[in-house]
Amino acid sequence: MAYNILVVDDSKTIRAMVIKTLKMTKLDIGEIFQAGNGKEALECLGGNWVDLVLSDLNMPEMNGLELIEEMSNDGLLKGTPVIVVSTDGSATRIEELKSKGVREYIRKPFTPEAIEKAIDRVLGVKNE
Amino acid sequence: MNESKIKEILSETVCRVMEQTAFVFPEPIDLSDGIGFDDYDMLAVNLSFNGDSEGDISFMVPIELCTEIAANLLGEEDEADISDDSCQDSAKEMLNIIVGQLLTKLYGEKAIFNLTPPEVRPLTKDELITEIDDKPYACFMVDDYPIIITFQTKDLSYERKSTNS
Repeated sequence: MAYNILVVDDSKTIRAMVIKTLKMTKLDIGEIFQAGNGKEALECLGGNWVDLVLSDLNMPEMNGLELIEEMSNDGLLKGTPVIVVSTDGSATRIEELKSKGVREYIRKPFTPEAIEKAIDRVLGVKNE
Repeated sequence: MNESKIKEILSETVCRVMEQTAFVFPEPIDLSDGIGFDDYDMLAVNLSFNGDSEGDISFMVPIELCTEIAANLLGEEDEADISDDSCQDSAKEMLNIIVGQLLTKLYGEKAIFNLTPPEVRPLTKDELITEIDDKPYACFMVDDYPIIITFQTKDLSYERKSTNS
């Protein structure tokens, strides 16, 4: 089964790094969508089937936390797993995110292995 | 925490993040060693933070080094393929990551901060001198390029005023 993934970050560089990392994993990837903030992400989610969202927190217009709250209030999107990829290392913030349904938290700078393992845990697949 | 301890943590953080993220290897240096900035077109990236403390940080870097960093981040072998936009975006993201790591090191894992989006601008030599005149900073060489990071918090400002009075 191929997984469609949405990468949300206001930095094109980070989006490119995440996408490159995703392509290095053995995960069966379908389409990779991109969004520059939470609002663009919701538009993408409204028109496409997405299996997993990888999102930054600190973004203009609509940040990652607002995106997660919008998704959890939407009957169709609340089951879509979200992995946060952020520079923020606050344990308090991570606890808050997990209480809002975030499945995994990856801190920048990230390694390809960290992303691969987090996806394995969330999607329940082994990339072998 | 005193200024020298903050500078030590700042130096360690900058070196680690730049090595891990951009595969470049900064070496801490002293500006009194006579490092010149005349030969470089520099960019300055600034951001502010607030929350458990508040302050601001600036990352001053030659454009040529920004291009190298962007190429390394993006895995591009030819630096000619790096646009100005990618160059600036990479400098912003580098500062974002440094600040995220630095604040945790300085204030602990329970502290919460909000960061402003990084802003980038060209930097003249006069502006550079003004930036480092009254702020704690750390200076590094990466290959033949100098970089400077200034870091100022309310806590540190208070400590400096107390010391001077």
